[in-house]
Amino acid sequence: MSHLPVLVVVVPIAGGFLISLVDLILPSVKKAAVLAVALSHGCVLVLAAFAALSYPPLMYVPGSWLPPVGIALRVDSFSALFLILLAVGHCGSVLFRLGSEGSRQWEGKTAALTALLFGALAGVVVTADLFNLFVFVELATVCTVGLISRKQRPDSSVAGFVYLMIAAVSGALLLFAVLLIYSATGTVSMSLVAERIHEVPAALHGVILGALVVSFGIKFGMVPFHVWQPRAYHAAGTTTAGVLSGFGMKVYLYALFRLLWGPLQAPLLLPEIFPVLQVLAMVTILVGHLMALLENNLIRMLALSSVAHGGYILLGLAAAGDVGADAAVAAALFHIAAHALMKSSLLWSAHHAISLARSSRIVDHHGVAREMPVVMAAFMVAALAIAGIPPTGGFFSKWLVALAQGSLLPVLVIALGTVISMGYYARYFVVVMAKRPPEPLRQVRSRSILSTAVVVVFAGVVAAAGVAQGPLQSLFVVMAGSLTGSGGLP
Amino acid sequence: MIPGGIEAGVFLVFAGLGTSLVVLLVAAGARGPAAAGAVHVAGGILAILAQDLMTLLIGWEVLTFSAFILIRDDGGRRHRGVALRYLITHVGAAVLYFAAMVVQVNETGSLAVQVLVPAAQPLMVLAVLIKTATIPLHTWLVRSYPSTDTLVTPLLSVFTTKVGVVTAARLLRFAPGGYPILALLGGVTAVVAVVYALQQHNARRLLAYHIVSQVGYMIAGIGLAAVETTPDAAAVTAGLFHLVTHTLYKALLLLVAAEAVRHAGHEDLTGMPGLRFRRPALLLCALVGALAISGAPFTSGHASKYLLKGVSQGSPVVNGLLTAASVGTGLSFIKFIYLIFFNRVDAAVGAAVTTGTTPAGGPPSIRDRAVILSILGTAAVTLFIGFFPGSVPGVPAGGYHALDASLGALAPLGVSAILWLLLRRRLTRQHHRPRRPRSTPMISVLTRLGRRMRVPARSLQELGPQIQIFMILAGFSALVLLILQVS
Repeated sequence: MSHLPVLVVVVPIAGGFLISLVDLILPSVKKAAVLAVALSHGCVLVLAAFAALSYPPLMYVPGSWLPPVGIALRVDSFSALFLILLAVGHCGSVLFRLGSEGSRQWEGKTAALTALLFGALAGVVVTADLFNLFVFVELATVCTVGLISRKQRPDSSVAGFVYLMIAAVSGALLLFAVLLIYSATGTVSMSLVAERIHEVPAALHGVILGALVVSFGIKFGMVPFHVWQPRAYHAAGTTTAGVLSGFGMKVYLYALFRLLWGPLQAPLLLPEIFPVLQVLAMVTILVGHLMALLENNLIRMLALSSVAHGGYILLGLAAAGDVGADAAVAAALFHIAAHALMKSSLLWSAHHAISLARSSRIVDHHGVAREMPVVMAAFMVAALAIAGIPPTGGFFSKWLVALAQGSLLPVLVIALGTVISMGYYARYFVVVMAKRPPEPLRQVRSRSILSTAVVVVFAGVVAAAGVAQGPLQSLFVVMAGSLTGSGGLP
Repeated sequence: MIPGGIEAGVFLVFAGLGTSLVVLLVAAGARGPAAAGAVHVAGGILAILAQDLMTLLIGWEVLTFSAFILIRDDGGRRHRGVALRYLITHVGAAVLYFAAMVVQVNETGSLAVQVLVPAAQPLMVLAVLIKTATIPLHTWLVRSYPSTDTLVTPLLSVFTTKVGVVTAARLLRFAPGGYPILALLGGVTAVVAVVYALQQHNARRLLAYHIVSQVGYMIAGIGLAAVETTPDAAAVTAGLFHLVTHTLYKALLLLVAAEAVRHAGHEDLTGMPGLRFRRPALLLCALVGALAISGAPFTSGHASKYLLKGVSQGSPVVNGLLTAASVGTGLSFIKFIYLIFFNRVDAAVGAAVTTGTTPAGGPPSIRDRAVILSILGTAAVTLFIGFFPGSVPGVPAGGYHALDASLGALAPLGVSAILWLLLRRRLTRQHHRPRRPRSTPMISVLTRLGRRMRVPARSLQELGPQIQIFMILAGFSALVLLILQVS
């Protein structure tokens, strides 16, 4: 039990190599191996999360080398939420792939890369060391590039290249920030940095903060650094896009929260950053939604909606610099959890529609809902939730984010975002519910109960979260308290 | 929990009329619309029973989405466009409500249904103006209601705007500087919508403009509640009582129009063959509805307009606007009855206009019987309320049938009759080409803008990696400069 914080990283990385090995030696049991890796990783993550929900956070120091010499892993109740999300994401995506993809798509390295990606993301969540954070972020980037460019199409290699270049900038900025911190404080351990950061001159502190915001802003798709996202998601395909948008993006936002409150002590030392982030968040929401409204391609539309929702979470983060920090962080966490489920449910149910229509252009989806009512019903429930229609969970997360705002303008931006997003989702509804498809659709080849169940369960949980919003909110406030209340790290 | 006072009357109308119209849809064999209609009724009932702002908002949204499905029908491109516009308009109203709710909760910490804090009022006023189709925000209503099935329109007319009125009655007291803006907007809407209605030839479009106009009366009544000289409860009661009476007689008139459309096979009033006395019961019921909406004495419309007149004594402008609207309404419904029942249509033109389904012959089907039954039922309730207005919960008794009240109501109708004699030719002139509805200026500007924006948006996404990376670096430097400036 005490090794849980390291197991959440070791299990999937070892599993990733194991999957590659099985693929070479015994391809017939590959699916079983992938499922076993995902389930064991899910178990470890959930156990670690539940262990962390009790008060003293789990600390793990490999080889008993204490910081500043050794590295440390740390799980508290704030990271517990993200561990649970990763467990849901890993198991959910593997179950969905088992149900939705034919044996041809199981060739290649996708499964191994997915396991490695989840290992790296778990590493980002549990690490208590800045350099380690950098290593895990880079590992995640490499896996992401592999996943984006795995399809043998010309545009996927372009998208992979673009992502690689832009992620390199992001990585360089992160490294730059870590180096500046190290040269100013002499340590890369988050807790020690937090103690010494007030000695750093304000200008240098500002540069570090700016570099980190841009670095992670690129990763989660903050406008104007979001340009890679529609292209990459489109090239990666819906299954991988669901993983990247639903779960990968959330971990980068986690890192931003962790760094701002932990080592950088931004609410205390540099509260001026929060109004800037608020403006960025509002721009992100509006640009993301407007570009999604103009988009003709379903995957790109969902990707741009994902950009906008990064903005909502950032808006919650920005409000947390003001008063009532815990409530605002809790609102952002609620939206993180809700969006993870909504967006993966949307993308994965879109997978069925796209494979039926053989195209991801919206105009080609005429009459799709009549062919697969259950999947499209899940899509619509998730779309209503993501647009923020009461009484779904998506509504309450937006409502809490809006309540945390100190002024009226962000509230109106949130409101306008709902109208625009309802516009593009409703446009898709009327297309898929149209009467006669203009040409016969392809017979559905491999749509099993398993993959349908995943999207239905995700959409159902988000819809039902609205009913249970009271207890959920108090849970999120507890989690937020472990980020802000203790001033970050002990 | 059933609300008390006049809201109990609203609840009874919502539940009773809504249920019977859904039953009518079931009897007519329209299974799909009946299911969506049942959800629609449930949304309206949820809104009237709501004890907190959140439930009320959920009621709004349930109404919006079920109406979207009802309007979308199964139809073609035009239905889809109309339904999409309806949905976006009402989600727009709901998010204004949302913003007002955020302000309210941040200031008071409570979600209870009560008069909102002043900071939240303007947002909620805007939301209610959209919801109640106040001019110039009325286009969603006159586009969507006439485009559905003829039996769906009565159901739609019962809820959306009326829930907006109920919301206004509960949450709004908007009179900045003691000036009853809301009441004036309502009064202006009542008049302008009647002017529009007089120009209509399509039966249901005409009635849709009258919905806009009559809801203007209700908004005028509720807006007057904010003025200090008017007793708050009396104004709200007058507004909501007009809601009750109007909902009933408007459903009646829409059902009469559905019957007329079935006979004629099309919706052009000027091309309808006059039914004359072939359907005496239908003629009587149509007269009940027309007299009620015109406010003739001893009808339900007279009773509610009498109350409205009482509360608008303190504000001569609103009073004058409402009286002018009464004149126009009377004129419009003389035209309505005349064209449906007594028109002599030019045979050649009549045949040319008749393009729809052929009129039903033979014995009446279940659908026809159900429609007749609903018409008779609503007419009976309208008559009953007309003779005994005090029987509606929360409505003060007495005074409605006094001589001066009746004469006061007859005066505008007399003016209508004179105008009818003067303008009859112009109002009933046949027109040969049905005009295509044009796009409103705002929508066309937005679409044009959207088309223009598509190109830069696309090119921004198709940029090469070098330029994208350059943009990122530029953004980073700008952010750092900004932070340095700030700190």
